[in-house]
Amino acid sequence: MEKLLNEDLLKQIKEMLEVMKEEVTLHYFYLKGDENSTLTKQLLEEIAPLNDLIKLKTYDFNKDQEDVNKYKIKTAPALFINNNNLGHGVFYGVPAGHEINTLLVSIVDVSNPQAIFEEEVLKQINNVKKETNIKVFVTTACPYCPGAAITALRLAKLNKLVTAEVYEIHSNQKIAEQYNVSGVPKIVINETKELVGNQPVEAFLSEMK
Amino acid sequence: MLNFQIDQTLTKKEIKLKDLYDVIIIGGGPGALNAALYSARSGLTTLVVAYEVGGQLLNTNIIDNYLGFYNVSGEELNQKFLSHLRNFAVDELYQVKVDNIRKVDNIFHLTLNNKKIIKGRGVILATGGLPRKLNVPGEKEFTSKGVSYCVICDGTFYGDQMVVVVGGGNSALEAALDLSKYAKKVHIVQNLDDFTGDKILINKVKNLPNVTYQFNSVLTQIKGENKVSSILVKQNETISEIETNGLFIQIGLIPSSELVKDLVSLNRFSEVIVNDKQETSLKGLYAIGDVTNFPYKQVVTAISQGAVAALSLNKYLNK
Repeated sequence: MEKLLNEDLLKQIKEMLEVMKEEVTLHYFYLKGDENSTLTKQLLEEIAPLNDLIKLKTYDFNKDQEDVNKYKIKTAPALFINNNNLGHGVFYGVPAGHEINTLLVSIVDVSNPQAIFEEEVLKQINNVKKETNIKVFVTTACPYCPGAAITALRLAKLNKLVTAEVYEIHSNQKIAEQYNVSGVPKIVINETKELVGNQPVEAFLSEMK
Repeated sequence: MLNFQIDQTLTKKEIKLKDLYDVIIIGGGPGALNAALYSARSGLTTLVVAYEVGGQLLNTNIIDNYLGFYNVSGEELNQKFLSHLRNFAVDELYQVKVDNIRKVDNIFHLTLNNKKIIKGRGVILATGGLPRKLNVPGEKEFTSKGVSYCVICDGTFYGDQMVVVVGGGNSALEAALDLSKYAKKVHIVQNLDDFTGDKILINKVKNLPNVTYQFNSVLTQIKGENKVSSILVKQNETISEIETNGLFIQIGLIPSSELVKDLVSLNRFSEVIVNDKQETSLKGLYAIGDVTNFPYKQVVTAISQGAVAALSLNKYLNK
């Protein structure tokens, strides 16, 4: 099978992952026979060996119901990155194009307990006291999308009441149509508030009040 | 679809900021990066602070007017610039915004959106610009619901559909060229009596079978229900309705000069006025690229201005 990542990409990814500090498990849910699922699985299998702290577990979305329910996975392909029961953030789709950055940064974030945000922002994140759902719609061609996706996943990491769902649109066209997405990145908070563009974390928090 | 694009600026790196820099460069586009290169090479302690790296390069599919790099993508060029810069001692602080600049006792104090304050003996402003809006009814309402300012981001939504591009310069022409690969039909609406972009782009656009255009035309309204379905266009005194699924507005940039509007002289377009050394009206504060009053907004001019600003600032700091 032809490799998805050439030597140069492997080298860059390895460098990015060097800052990992703690073990991270990638829980990957696939649809058997689905091209997008197969691609993503191959991608993860090429990335996981680049750092000993990465563990990869794969699940058949249609058969491994217990794990689908445990990780609250809505569709596949889907990736949940875990480290000791942190907040809930899932990437739905193929993390290709620019979205490879969402994948890599999420792995590093979960693996690294260093503060991502300043004190003031952390206080505001901790002050979110109600269940909050953030959906971010992205395309792989959009250079501004990883910023928004990463911010949403970081918020989910830092507050257990926050769930983040990133939808790569090519693999999730139905839900993109349902949310009337024709411009990315599109951020939907609690089904009612919408933001467009690579918004800073303060803009997210403002809509989460 | 795979086309992996790694952006090393997105990983949060631990960085111990200096108490005082010689030069702080605000912005992450090509002009900013070259200013940083020249500043570092001059032996000045240098910090680049930006929310994103790439500037207008991120919005540009193909660049074929930057010498030495024929037919290169904006992203690839951006990565080359960044890789080159990383051979030099430059501190980089990304995913933050500068909220305020003050000059106190010849030192610039920059307050970031995370409330941190960074200090520099000199500042180079390279904040570029933001897409100019039409300011017509429906524009705000339908943003990301058919109205877009970024073809790279949103072009693929319009496969086999009708789209309209508003504008007539290089950005509009490039948008039409890019969209013509996906869309069934592209129609350009230009308010002047001709295109104003490069001849080579005009000729390419005019030769495309699925691209049409009209001049002396002004878009007056954007209509639809949940998303864009049509636009109203006024040509001479006649208003006509054009059905369209998407609208790409490419009418230039508004300079991002808000940060310095009370510090330096601006022209009537809110561009920062600079001299041939890139000096603004405030000593120690320089400006380069699309935020300035220099009339030509190109990658090569921004880059050259970055070098000039850094060299000028070096001389200023060492006198």
